[in-house]
Amino acid sequence: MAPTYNPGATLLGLRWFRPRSGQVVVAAHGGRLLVKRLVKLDEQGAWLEGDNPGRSTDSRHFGAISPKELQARIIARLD
Amino acid sequence: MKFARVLPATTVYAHCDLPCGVYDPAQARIEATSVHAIMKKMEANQDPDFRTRAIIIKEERAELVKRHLWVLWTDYFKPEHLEKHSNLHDLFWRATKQAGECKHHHEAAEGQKLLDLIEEIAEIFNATKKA
Repeated sequence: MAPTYNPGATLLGLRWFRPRSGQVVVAAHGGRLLVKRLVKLDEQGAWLEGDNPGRSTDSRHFGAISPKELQARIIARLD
Repeated sequence: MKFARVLPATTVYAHCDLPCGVYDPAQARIEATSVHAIMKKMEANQDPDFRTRAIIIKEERAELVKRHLWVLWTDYFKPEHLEKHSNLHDLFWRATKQAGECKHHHEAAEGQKLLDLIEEIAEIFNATKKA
């Protein structure tokens, strides 16, 4: 998620939130918890992309995910 | 930050690849160098047993070249890279086909063609790392 958040960053998230495009979210997908930006949320599902498109594996590869997989919204970096 | 330690914490990932994320055209190059070297040895040795072994190893190594190139092509390279390097698909197509040609032939020139194509891929790879 560079340049927004670098590897090793401590992030603060809210488990209760209303997903909106533009938010950085935590998603449980493919057996892992991912941190990505929610680019679009519509009837197709939630479309996630990394902020570093050249290096990110995201919805461009695995497609839109179920909104149920969204776990939290990142609201701050703590370190 | 101290107060962060009292909050429940878990690790989240920005990458969905297996954790290593290590990509390098050197893998394909090493296998292609094997293919090329075997071809050169075959030119100098007519012993049928040696040549049989050489062909088996050459087949295996050429297959590994394809495998390593496919991983680079499908996992490392992204649409952004294709925009900048529009010949990328054609280059991978020609390189993996050339790996197949190296199974059909045992002239060292065919192995050299494969190495040259991998070098072209490596140049693009290096350019994306600098960007």
